[in-house]
Amino acid sequence: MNDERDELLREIGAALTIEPSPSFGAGVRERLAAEPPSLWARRGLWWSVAGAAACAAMVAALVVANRSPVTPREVVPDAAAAAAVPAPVEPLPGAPAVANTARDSRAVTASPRVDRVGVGRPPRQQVIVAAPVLAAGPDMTVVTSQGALLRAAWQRVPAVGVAVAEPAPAPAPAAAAVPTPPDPVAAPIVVSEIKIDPIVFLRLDSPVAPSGSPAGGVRKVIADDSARSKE
Amino acid sequence: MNEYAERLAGPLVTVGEEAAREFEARLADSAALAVRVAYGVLRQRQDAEDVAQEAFIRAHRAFASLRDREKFRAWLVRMTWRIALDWKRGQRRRTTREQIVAIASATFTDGEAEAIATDRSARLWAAIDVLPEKLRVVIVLAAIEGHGLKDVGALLDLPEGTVKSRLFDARKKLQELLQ
Repeated sequence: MNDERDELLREIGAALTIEPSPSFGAGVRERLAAEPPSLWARRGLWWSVAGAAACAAMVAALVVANRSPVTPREVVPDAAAAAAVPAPVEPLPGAPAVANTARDSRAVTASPRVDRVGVGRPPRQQVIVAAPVLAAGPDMTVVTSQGALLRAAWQRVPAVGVAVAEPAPAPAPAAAAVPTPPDPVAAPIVVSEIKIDPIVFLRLDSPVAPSGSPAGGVRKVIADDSARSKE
Repeated sequence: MNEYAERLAGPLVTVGEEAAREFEARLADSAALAVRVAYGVLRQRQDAEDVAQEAFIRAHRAFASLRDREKFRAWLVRMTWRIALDWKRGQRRRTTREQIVAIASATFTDGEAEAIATDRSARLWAAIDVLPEKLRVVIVLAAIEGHGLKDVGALLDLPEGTVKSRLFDARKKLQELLQ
């Protein structure tokens, strides 16, 4: 720094050399006394408000989570609902034995009602069926057991008729005198008897059977094994 | 019960009283600095004191993190400068600036010398007002209380080299403007 620049700083410093008035400190204290609550107090207030809001949100979330997600609706029967009702299902012969009275009472009746179709479905999947006034009596039977369905179908078998295929009778001996070419389709298939030799295990140190009788050594091994098993 | 409450509240009251004493000490120590910094921007005594008081009020709100003396002075200087700039922007249109209070307040026996000094100071402050803000704050702080580069760097939280460079640029521009 040269002298000229120092002179410049001194000149600025001299212009800025002022002292605060005697009432400066008193003015600061007076304004501090008139200050609103401190920032910490305001922060505490905000924290309390935020905590209360968080608690309220948690309670609301718990209430919503515990509520049933699907509320059955009250359905007013009308023409569209009547058209949506499926046609009555004719019960199979023998099926009523499975569909007991309790299940029969679940059939669609004259009054609109909420019914659940299906046994294994979760409770949320509900089918709301509304029907207008129908004819008296069970018009639809819901068969829920597959075994009962199969039994009912089997009881209908005599009415339909089942043909049991039997093998054709043997030809007469007189016909055997006349040689006829065998029918490749009708002729029985003759399968010769299949002979399977017993499986034997040869030990490595067993004597080799003589070349003329290959089974001699095998018999000896079997005899040895049977004797060892008796021991 | 009352004895226990008094024993429990005793340290708290002591901490509050201690903080109040510390703030009083900072107020007595840094009041002149704050007023001069504000005056360097506003050059009007009453406005400078109002700005400095506002800076102390804000410092009191944040005093929990400003217990250290150097940290307090640096924070106070920056806050005072910022408030003074805002004040100046707000007052610019409706307040006639007080010109050259310090020099004008000096006693001049010779009317011609007084006129020369007043003219010189007016030109100087006009030149300072033209400076960019980052140069102006450096040269004002360097002129106050004989602050060195290190002190100005601590007040502005700037490296000493940066302060030196800015002070050099400020002086150079002032010389050009004053010639």
